[in-house]
Amino acid sequence: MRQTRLIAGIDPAIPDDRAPRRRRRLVFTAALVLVAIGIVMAIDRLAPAPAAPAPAAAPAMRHGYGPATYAAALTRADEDVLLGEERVAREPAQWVFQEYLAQALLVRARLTGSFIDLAHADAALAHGLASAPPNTGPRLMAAIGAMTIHRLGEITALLDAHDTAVVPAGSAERAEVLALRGDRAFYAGDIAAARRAYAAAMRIHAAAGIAVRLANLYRAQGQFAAAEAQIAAALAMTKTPSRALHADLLLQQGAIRLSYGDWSGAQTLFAAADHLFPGNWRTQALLAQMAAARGDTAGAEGLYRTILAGNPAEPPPEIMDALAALYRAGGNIAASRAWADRAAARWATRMALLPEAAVGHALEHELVFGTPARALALARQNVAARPYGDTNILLARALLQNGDPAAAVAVLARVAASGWRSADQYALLAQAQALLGHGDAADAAQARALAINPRALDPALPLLWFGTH
Amino acid sequence: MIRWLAVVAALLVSALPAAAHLTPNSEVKLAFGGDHVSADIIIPQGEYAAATGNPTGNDRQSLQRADAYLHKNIRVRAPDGRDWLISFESLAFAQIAGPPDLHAVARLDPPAGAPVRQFRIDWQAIIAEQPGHFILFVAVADFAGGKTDHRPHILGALQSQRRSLVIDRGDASLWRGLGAATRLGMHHIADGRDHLLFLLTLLLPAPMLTNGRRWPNRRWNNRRTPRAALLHLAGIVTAFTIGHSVTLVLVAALGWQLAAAPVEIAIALTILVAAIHAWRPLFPGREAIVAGSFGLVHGMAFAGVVAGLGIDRTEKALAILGFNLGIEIVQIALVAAVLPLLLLVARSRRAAVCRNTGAALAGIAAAAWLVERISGVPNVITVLLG
Repeated sequence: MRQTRLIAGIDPAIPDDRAPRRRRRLVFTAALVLVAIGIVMAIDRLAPAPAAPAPAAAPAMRHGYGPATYAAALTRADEDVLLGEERVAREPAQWVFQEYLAQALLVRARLTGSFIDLAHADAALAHGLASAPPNTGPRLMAAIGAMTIHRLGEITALLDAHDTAVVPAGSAERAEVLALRGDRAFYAGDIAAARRAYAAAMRIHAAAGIAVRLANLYRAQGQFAAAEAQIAAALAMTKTPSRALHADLLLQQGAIRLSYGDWSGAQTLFAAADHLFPGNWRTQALLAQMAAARGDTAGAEGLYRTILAGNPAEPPPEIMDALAALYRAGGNIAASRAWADRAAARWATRMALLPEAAVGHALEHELVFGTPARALALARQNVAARPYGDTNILLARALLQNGDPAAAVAVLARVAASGWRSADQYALLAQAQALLGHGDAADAAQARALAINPRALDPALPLLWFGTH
Repeated sequence: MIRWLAVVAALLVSALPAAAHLTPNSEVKLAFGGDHVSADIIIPQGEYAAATGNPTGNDRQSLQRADAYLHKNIRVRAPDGRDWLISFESLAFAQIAGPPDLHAVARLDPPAGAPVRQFRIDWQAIIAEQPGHFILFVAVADFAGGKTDHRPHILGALQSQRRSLVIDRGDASLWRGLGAATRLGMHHIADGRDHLLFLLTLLLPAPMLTNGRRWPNRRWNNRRTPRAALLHLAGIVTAFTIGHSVTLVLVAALGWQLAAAPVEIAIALTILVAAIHAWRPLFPGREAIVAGSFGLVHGMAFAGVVAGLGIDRTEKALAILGFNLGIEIVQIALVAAVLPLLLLVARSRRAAVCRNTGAALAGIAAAAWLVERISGVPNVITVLLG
């Protein structure tokens, strides 16, 4: 009987009941497919989600006192500088007033990127140190100033002197001194010493500033999850951060995202920072480069030009360079050369003002728009000022441009030995090995670069001018 | 003061790092064939414009200038110094990825009697004018050299101080390529859990007969004889092989570019349907026909793997043949391994439980793949499946 039913439809003597049965099977199959998909989705919903990346947008939180916009922050910084100048004018021999002025200038320089302010701060601190009685003076502020303008050589002596101060320092200040020693070690290329100093500082007084430094340290070692965790910790430590600080932390986190190729996550964080603290030209620059990378050339060009128009007194040359690179990528060579020339003039001015602080940026300009010989000279000067991973990578690039891939490989080996791990370091190593004809070594280096940052070889990467390693 | 020190000082010294700016570089992808080499040349449009001052449009005059510039600045020579023939098969300014590029595809033919795997490239284009520019040369295909992965292998690089690159790809033979393609096929099917799961799921109820609505759940009911079961299994496997071979050959021979996502979704669906069939018969007695039809879908996925292997007809044909051989070897090994088990299970008292459990597991895996491939997001089951 069963056998008979099996051949139903084949034997014409047997009634054909296949059509309704086929319909039933079709409905049955479709229902089962839907049920199966539903079950999987339900299981997935109930199961713990795979490790999610840190929240992309600014978390809702209460903000502390402080300006809500870049313009308001700049107005306040201007007022502070004016007050400092007034105090110094009245009593130039008072080192406390010189320190106040230097602090106000450093804060304003942080906002505007002004090298003139940095130079004035440097001068004020020099006056303060010169006029202070023995065992007193703005030594801690001077150490911060020296770190800001990349004069590593002065920092240890200033901090040692600060430690002998008549007035004993509190735990927060002692932690800050240790953190600065960590910074010095980091930019001197000693990652292990930097880590020890930051850890010691954290033990004395856990502070957001130290967490930010740790984030920078982890990022340099390619430990991006740990770096982002430190940014989150910094935010948590400040409890009610100002909008400016919160936005700064978002920018730092976005820069970390760029390091491992999460361009979309970085864009979201930069946009959140812009929303939180609107008007900051650095944020606008980051948004402009992201626009350029996704092919919105007109949008990027507009943003860069707006930034330059917004600061006619001291237009940032790095923005001019970014604009020149944008024009060059599009084939508009005349516009590219015009902006690169303007940037070159401004870098020359900055080099004359504060060579240690300007040399890294001037070198980057030279590597892209200048001559290999000049780039190599600047790269050596840059490494002399701060012999750490980033500067050595730039030196390797300059060596490569000058036809010395073997020397570049040696420099990059030193970078790797220091514990530095970045995609561009390995991408560059791949180039050097390729030039030496070492195909397998070049393949291996390229694979390492891509493992760190899957977008390490993205053709749009040269348009990312800010915040990447 | 201390709070300021703690936070702002950190931001001052940890200022956003500037990029170690890369200048856009050129890339030359070489594919080595039996009698010629194909070169896919990508030069960033901006670098070309900066180096030459030439226009960068796709009008005739601009392209003629680009053609002349490349012809003048690229030479390929045999070890005895004779020039290779360079002919551009296509030349255009195009946006491939990121900013626009000058994209050229060139055919490089050696002079009579010269080896095709040994030559020297003398390159002046861009690097003569732009000291920071860098040209990377990679091998993307070398069938006779046994290269069957799709990863570009770096051969060398040139820049202003180094303008010559010697290429020596060593010995090669079509047998070597055939062997490599066979190994590729074996690896692909062995790693392709979804293909194997489909086949296994389809084989699961194969030793049994149906009453039309259900598979038998008693030990001695409706079981095929071992000989019949064997023939039925062989029919299913052969039909699957024919199915995927047909699309593999068609897609590879015609050079179709198939989007991977729809094919992957369709493959997950085929497993789900096979799992449902293993639970309740949907197409009893017609498993071979279904295996053949669904094999057509699986063949599309195989075609993506074999595409790009070999650059002339002989190499392409051998690549497909070798790849298919590899797939069949693994399939036959798998069937040989599971056949006794299937026959035993069909005779066991727990036949229905085993079949239903297998069907359920396959169904869950298929549904999980389906969800993942539609949503683009891994789920807990696909993570577990690895």
